[in-house]
Amino acid sequence: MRYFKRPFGVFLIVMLLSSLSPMSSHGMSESVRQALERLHDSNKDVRQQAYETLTRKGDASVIPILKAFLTGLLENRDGELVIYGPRVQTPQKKREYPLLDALTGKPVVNEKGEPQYAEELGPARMKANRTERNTITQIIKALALQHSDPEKRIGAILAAGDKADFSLLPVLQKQLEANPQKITKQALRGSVARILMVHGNKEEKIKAADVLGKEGSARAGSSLRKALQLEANRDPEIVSAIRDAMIRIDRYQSWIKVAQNLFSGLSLGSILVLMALGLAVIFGLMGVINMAHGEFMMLGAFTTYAVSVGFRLYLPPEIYSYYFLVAVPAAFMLSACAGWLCEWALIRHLYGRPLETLLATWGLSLVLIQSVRVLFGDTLSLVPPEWLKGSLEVSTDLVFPINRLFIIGFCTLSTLLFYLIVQRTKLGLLLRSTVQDRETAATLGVPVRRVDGLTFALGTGLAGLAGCVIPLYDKINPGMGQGYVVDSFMVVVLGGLGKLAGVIIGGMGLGFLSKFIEPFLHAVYGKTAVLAMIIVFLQWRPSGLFPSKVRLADDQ
Amino acid sequence: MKNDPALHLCGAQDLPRRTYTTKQLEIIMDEEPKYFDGNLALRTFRRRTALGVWLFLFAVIPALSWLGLVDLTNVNKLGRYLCFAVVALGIDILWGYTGLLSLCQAFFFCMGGYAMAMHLSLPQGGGYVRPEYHNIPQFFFFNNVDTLPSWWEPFSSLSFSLVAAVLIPAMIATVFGFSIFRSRVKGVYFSIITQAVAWGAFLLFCRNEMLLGGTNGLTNFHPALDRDFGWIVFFYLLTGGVLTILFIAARYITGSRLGRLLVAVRDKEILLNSMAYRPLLIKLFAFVVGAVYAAIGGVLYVPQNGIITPNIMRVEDSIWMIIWVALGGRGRLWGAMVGALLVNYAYSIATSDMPRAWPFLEGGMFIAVVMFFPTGLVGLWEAFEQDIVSGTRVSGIGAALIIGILALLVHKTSLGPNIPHNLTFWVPVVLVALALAFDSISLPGLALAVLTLFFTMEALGLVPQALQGTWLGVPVKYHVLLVILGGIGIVKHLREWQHLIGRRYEQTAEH
Repeated sequence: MRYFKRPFGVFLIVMLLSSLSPMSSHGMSESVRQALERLHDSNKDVRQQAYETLTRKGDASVIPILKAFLTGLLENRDGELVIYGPRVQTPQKKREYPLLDALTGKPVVNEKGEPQYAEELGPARMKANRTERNTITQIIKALALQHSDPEKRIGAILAAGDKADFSLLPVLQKQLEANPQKITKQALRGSVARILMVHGNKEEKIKAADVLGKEGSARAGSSLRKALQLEANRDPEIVSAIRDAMIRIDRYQSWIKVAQNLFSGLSLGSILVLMALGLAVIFGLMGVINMAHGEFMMLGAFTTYAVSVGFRLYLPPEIYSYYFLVAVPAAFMLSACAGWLCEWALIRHLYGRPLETLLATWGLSLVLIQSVRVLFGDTLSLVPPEWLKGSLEVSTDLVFPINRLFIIGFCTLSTLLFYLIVQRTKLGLLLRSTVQDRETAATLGVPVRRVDGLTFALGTGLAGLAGCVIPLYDKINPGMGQGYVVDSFMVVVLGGLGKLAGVIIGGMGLGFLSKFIEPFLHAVYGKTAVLAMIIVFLQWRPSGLFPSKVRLADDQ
Repeated sequence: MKNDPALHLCGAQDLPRRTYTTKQLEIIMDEEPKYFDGNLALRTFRRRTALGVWLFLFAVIPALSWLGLVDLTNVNKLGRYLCFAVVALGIDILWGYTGLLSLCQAFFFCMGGYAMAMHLSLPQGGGYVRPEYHNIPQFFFFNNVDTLPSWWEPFSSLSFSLVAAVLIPAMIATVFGFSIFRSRVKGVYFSIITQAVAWGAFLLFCRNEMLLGGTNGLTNFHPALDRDFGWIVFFYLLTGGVLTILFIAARYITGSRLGRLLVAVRDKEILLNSMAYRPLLIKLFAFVVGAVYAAIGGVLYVPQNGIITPNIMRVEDSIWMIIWVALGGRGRLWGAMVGALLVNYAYSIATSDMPRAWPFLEGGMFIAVVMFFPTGLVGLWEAFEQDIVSGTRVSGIGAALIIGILALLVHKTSLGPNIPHNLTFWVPVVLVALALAFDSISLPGLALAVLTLFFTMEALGLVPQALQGTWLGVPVKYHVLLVILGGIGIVKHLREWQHLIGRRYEQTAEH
């Protein structure tokens, strides 16, 4: 489970824990050191005492040492505790065990500062007594609960709950009383409840069921399901408590599913809007059906890829993760230039013949796809930048990946920018006037041909921007645009050409609709159902939500 | 009827293209010479050419294959292309005449194909089934289905399958077309929605739950169907016969009053509307006819192809079907058929010679047709036949034929090296004839001459060593050819750019 990866809160927790923790790996207390050395003592009582000391005073830094002790990779070399690391290639081209200082975890070095290796495992190794292995495993588990890394700590806490490990219950309860950070507390409470669900008495079980029901996570749900099987024929009160809790969890989980779908619908819709805006403005202005629109998006995606490769090859690795900031303008410029070129060479000769532009741009799309395939090869995947990894857990089990959040923000911003260009700039004014009445605009001195070229470039540039974000969550291949272009056309048909708002509403609606239907039907049936719905919708509003105002019925 | 003023206003002035007897023609010419679009000699020439091609396809080729001179696989291939010609006829009625660019014809093609394939894959239809798979088509076993689903049962009868293959697509087209045309969706909106339908159907057919074989499609038909001489020639001739009948039917439709209404819908729908005609029904008729033609093509295609998969119903394939008609020439039935045959032939040569370059060629074909040859092959041919009939190029054609025969002799006496494709040889022969028949200083003539030279050199193994390498996975010689042709195209384009802008289909397609 990903708890709060990355955001700045993590730093806070790390700072707090490291400042509060009395012992760090360097300053391991004397008693712990002694206890570690006595692990292999022949006297059983001494060993027992060492275990107790470790349990009481030890911390997470002892865990690797104990693990090495369990597997017999720990050695006492003249009073120095040494761990054999996994075998590696030495500078002398031999496969040997690196020696690590058990207390610091760093490689053992000689006077010259060269790391030391051992050819074979030494005879003086310490290995845990067969009968006491369980004790040591238990100590490791208990110590993991105090790990300084919050993510690992929470992982250990949840693992304790998963196994319903009764022996760890006191440690968990004690930690709970210490009133820790909110997220840790949640995990602790859940784990305590799940242990009690198995091992507790009747009251405790009923209470635990209640706690789990309130928590509402899928993890709690599976614990309850197991518990229900155990209790099925025993106590009806417990059973009913569990049932209540499960109903509660189900309800919560279904809400989460809705929220999750809403979220993915939002991100799909925002990409669709960006694509469809370009299509709609090109179609609205010039009556050109641009079948190659998806390919301009693909160009944007491959530009992003090319920029990332360029960064990796020619620039220092520290700034690699900022390649995306360069890729965005590059993708826009490349797609826009390609679009402008196509308009100049091809489209401008085909005005007034919409069906033929459809064929010509289809041919163009084939050429573009094959060119990219020859240059780049087929399927590629991109390492997303560091700062876009991870996810945000908003509520229990409700996880929003950061990259999707970024995509939504990015697309919203681009849409807004486009809207401002259309509404506030001179180009926008000329564009709107040309859309409204081409002949009159031309008579009044609007350079309609140039406006056409610029608008086409702007539209394809938007597609390039949409393509930019695709590699953040998906693999890219030269044929990827064709899947999006059908959807984008549907958005344009749904929204109508009268207003840009129509495209936005249409795109969002389509995104939400397809993501909402998916859970009930399979994705494919969902898609087909959406298509059917659009055809039905057109019966009601033949030219979309916002039809453009024209004089004649066939004056499209 | 010819003088119906309403139809004149709608822009549908063309003379109904009906087959007249010579006597009738003379009478018409005497009475109304302005309605006759050619002279008697041209008519005769056209009819003789058509008869010659027909006899060549359906008498000479089967005879040659019986003698073992034509490879059976080629006959099979040609048979499949004839099925495409059937589809192209439907598209021509729908697009060329009615102006509706449907991007879901491949879907109707597959509907027909699937119905036939269902029959063929059942044991009653000669399908290959095994007892360990419960004597039903194998893919059921892999979908955990033990007994034949009830809706599959009727397809064990051939007659039911044939009826269903035509009726189901027709019904889908009716319902779907009615809902689209009723809401007055037209133009590119119509294309977009049909494209979405094709896409949705493709996604559905790829699912295993449909019990139609998923992405693997239906196969394991009777093995003899596309291997034995008898079956192959039978299907070839059957397809030819059906194509002939459907061509005559299409000719009848387009030549009738209904055909002129179709053209009227294309050219001025609103005017037709205000004259109390109902464009809805006319368009619906064209759509259903297009669907039925496509479905019949699919029915004939499946036994000759041996397999049908959802891959043939993708949007790409529908657009591919459009290009046959566009290249052949819209608004002329024979143009659509010839386009289907030639484009597929080009496809089969190009994909075997240079698979990686094919998408460039295909894309280039789309762009070239739209920008430079809006009339398609029809336009080229009409300039050509005019010359032949008027006798101006007779000497050129004679010279071309002599060169062709000489080249053939060189080839047959194995003076030249081995030639990979028999057909690669025939192409230059035809092209020599074309090039000589054309005015050789005109740019298309020059382009044809270059192509001719190229293919002749290629066929005789005379391509210079410097051009033998490959660049970007494509033989250098093709790059050179492309650059020369592109150059010619650009020069032509620059010369005629004023003419091209704003050139509309209506102005150029007919005369």
